[in-house]
Amino acid sequence: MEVRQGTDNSILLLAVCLTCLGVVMVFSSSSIMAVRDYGDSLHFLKRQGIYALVGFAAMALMMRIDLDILRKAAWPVLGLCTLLLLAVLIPGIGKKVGGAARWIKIAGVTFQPAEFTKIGLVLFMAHSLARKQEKVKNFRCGFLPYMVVLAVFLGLLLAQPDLGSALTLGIVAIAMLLVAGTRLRYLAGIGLVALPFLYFMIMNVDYRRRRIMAFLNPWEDPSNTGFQIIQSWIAFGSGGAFGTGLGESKQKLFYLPEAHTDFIFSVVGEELGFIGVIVIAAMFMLLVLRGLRTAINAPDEFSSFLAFGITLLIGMQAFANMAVVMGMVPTKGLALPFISYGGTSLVTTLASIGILLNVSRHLPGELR
Amino acid sequence: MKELGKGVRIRIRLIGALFTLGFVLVAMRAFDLQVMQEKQWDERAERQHQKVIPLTPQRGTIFDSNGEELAVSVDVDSIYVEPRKLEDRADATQKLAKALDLTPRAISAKLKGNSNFVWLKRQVAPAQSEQIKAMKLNGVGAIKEPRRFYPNSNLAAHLLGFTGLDPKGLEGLELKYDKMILGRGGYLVMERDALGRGIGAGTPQVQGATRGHDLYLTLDKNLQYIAERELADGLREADAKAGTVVMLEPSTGKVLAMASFPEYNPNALFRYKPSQWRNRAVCDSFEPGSTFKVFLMAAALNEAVVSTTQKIDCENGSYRVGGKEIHDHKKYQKLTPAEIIKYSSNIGSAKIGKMLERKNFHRYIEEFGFGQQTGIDLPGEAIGLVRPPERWFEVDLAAISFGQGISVTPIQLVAATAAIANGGYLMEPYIVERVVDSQGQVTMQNQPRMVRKVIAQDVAHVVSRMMEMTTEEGGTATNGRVPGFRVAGKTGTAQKVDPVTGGYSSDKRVASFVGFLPVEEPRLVMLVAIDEPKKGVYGGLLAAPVFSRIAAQAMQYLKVAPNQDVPAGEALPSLEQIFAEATAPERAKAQEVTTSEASSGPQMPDFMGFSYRQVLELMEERQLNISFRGRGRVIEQSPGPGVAIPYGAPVWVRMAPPS
Repeated sequence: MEVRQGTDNSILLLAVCLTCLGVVMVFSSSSIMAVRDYGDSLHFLKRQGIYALVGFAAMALMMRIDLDILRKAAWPVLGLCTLLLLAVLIPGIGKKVGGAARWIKIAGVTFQPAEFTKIGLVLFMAHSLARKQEKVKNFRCGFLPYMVVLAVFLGLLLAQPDLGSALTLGIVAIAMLLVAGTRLRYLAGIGLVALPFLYFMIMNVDYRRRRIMAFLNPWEDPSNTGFQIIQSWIAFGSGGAFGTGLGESKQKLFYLPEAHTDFIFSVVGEELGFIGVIVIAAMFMLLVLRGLRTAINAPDEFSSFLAFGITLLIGMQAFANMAVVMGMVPTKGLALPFISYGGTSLVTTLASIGILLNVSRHLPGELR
Repeated sequence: MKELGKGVRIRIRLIGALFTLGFVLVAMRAFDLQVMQEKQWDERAERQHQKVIPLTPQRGTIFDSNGEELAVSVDVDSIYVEPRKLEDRADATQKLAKALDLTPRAISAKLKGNSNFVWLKRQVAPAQSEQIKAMKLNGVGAIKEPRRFYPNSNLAAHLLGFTGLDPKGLEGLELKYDKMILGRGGYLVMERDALGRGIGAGTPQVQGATRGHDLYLTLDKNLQYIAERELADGLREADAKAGTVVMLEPSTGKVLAMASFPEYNPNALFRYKPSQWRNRAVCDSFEPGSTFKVFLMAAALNEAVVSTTQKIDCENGSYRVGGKEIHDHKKYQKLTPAEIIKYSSNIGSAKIGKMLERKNFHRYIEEFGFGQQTGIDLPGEAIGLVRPPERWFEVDLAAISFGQGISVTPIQLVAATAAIANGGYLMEPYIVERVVDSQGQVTMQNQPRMVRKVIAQDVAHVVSRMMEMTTEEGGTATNGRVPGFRVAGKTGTAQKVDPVTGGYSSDKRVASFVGFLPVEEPRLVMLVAIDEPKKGVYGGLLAAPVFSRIAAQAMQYLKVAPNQDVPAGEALPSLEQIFAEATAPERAKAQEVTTSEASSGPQMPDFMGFSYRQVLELMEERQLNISFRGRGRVIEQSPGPGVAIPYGAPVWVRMAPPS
């Protein structure tokens, strides 16, 4: 792939490395399950490989696209995302897996609209916040519209239900508002309104409440609600400092739930040890810092907000996933960007990295 | 397009700082989990990943004083199944049932359930294991497990004891030294996934097995053999149901031989009654009868209540004590103490007992070790019965003086006699010389231990001399003589207490002889006791000849040079003669386990655990050629045990050093 002069090479390098590492880890963590379920140990590896190639293509495209075209697409994208989120809820179009309707199939391709929505919302907010400039401090003009959009999206996501995506989306949107200069008291106000809702959303849904309880005391029921997190700890702990070696994980042998998706980092911890964990965490941190640097130095507010939103989106999910699998925050379904198995997630992540790289191309000369 | 405001930049940097903090927290958490708590989680992981199947521990070898093997562990195959790996269950069940001689129903019952691993049959014959291996069934395998084998079959069986099918020692030395002989069994470790299935295609790994310690005995296999053979002959001649021989080294208390009859073959334990397992030498007690007179005499001389020249009136064969009449078997008038022993006078003994007095006599009885365990390192030692002197009536004192109304164990009697033979020292009898671990390090070394000095040396010599007179012309034990040696001894004949009437039985007796030789410097002290002989009753006639035959061969074997003239026609047997006979009955016994099924034509014996020499002897007897592969003990054979050997078929055994 041609790298244009001025592109932030470290972001590109980190993204490529993490993606390749992800393909390897997906294979390691899924091969035995793949044999059991599909009779082909390469089942998930092949797919993740294809997703990576598609993702790299999307990244290359996004790197070259004129940012103005992207900016003009902000509203249409927002509309499209809304339609997709609605469509997912319609029986027949949306595909239900494990009680949640998160997938949609169009022209033979199955994907998760929620992943699109994240990047769509970031694009929309970057465009809108940059346009409104000083008016963001105005409640009716600079705050309320975003809350309405957010409320619609969150409502649609929770209807799936997909609390993990909803929380990510909410946090990223609020952080963008905060950075753009919204008055803190509005945010505080909305927080107070949202809190009872959040509490209701969690405590009123049985499996979510159980997850919270399991987080607070996993040993109370280690074979049931506490099972996931204890198995994850066993994976990390038995990996030790240097790991059991690539492919040597035993926890992936059906002890860890979804070892190739949400709990793939536990397999990393077991096979590659503390060293592997630190290296991957550091790569994410570096990626975030480079992304934020791009945002700070971007030539205009739109690209700055866009870079910030994208960086936050990836960084948030990475941090949240790591914190979940290590039992630092309650369990919720969140993929580890780049690494976890999943086409939509990988392709949208790489596409957004493409946008980030696009922004980095336009940094003032001395920062290139 | 507008440049970014200063506040925006600051807020973005703030977010960057928050992220950095977040990742630092993640790193700290990872450090805590993976480095600080590694061990704890690792153990948890192991617990959940591994299924552990305990294995049979390897027992150490038991050697005699010359390093000859008396009990060995031989590795044999145990067949297991990992049911989940079986491809065609029905087919496998049929095949396994045929090969292992089990019913298909029994096998499918084992394969049922949710287990990953089941023992199908443990410790199978080599031929069966061979068949199983040839089938190459997925999920069926063999693991070597040790099986206890007694290469000499019945030899010293009571002493060695035996083990259960699981490897715990149940009797004899196997029980007494179980903790040392028994190794750690180790485990078969199988990895499993969350669904409980075994991981990996390889055979399960054996971990943590250690070999048990070896025992080296004071026992001499050859002396033991001689003792057993002669006891068996003696019992046959006397038409007796049971008997025992105990042979010690008087100066140390080392057990050189210890035989009991009826005997049993520990390799085929289930064919014998538990009463046959009994080590009569330490577990049974009996009335010693006249043999007890020597301890009375030793006590009386040591207390100087009687002098060697004193003449004691033996009342012409009949004497009333405490309202009861006691008799001698011949009418004696005045006898010296030496003559009382020589002729075994009950009346003379009763009179000396009276002179000694109850308390003194009782004290010496205890000092000679009666009424208490000798401390020999064998399980189940009886103590006999010695009543307290306060409860002795006058007639009891008289009866005990000639060995009635008291009971002793064979080992007590021999140990006490050894104290007379060795100049007055009661030695604790022992049988294990040393214990050696698998690295060859000695972990326990037994030393001769003196319990106490019982009588003065000169008294011991005087009593020895008196006992020697019994084997001289006119004595009661002339049959106990050994050509070329001075022999000291004492016969005993005691009526057995009838369990029904509580009184003495008129026809059930124990005939015994206890003695030692050479008198000048005794090399062995031995008791021969014959229980309930039907032909004759007297120790001098039944037990003394057995003593003589064993002692003569033992002196030859121990290379003790005769220092007396050997009377014409009484030549000592040569070593060749002693052991030429040795093999025939031994072979017969060794065969018992193996080829019991009779059939026409030569049959392949079960050679498992046999030595080169043993195999060769058996095959020579059958006039068959056999080829040997490897060295050590037989671990495999073809054809299998009990199988008729086809004419011209290859016959071989594979051998390996005992593990």
